[in-house]
Amino acid sequence: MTEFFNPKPSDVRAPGGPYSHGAIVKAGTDLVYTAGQVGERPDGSVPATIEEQCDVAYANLLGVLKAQGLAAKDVIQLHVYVTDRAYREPSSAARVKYLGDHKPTSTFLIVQGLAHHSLMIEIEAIAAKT
Amino acid sequence: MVEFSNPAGVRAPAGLYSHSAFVKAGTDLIFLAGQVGAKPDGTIPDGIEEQADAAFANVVTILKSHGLAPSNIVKMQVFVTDRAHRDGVNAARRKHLGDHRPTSTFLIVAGLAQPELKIEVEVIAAR
Repeated sequence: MTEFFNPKPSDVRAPGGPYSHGAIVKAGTDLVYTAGQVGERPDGSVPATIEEQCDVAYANLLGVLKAQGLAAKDVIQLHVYVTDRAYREPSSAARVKYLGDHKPTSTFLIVQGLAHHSLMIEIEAIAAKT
Repeated sequence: MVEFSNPAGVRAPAGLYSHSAFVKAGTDLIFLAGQVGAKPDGTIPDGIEEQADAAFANVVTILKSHGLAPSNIVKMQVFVTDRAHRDGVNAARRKHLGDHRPTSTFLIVAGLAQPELKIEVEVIAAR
């Protein structure tokens, strides 16, 4: 079982969002690495809004995990890449919708671009099979 | 014990890192969230030197809270918002990591979670 932890807030500022500062994955744990998931639907269409792209990207991520018998609660590390700072709120909303109160370690980055110019968000995860 | 190596035939690392890290089965892994230059009181210093110092200090403190040291770092990713921050980052890295050489990636990104942030450091450690 993965142990998530945060040092004392007097040592390191408490996380400013739904994430944990650290996660300990015990020896002998199977790990699943996902490719970065984008807001592309199974039929190849890419919605025009960030809200919809977030929704699709998280749904894709959970779909990939589910195929390995894993769920949102198994995510230990999450990387979120967006192409515009304005996408932070919609991406946070989608995250809460799909991950609930699960708090993996996380990194949020604003990047210059993703693999296709229509893409606004990409989400990558490492999960542990427990 | 993690085994770091640099193969012949690949240009030697140009900085304080290794090309490869071999982590044996039976090793606990510790994943850290990306650490930024925020101090425990929430303040974010202006300069890259201070932000880098605070970010690496956060990494070391989090590792230490579970009995780990900088020498346990296997992989490190450093994200900065400006190429000019590179020297400031390297100084802080040397100060906090000494001569430990984990595998590393250094990236210049368009932005971090808050506009005032200049650096984020993410590590995976092993014990």
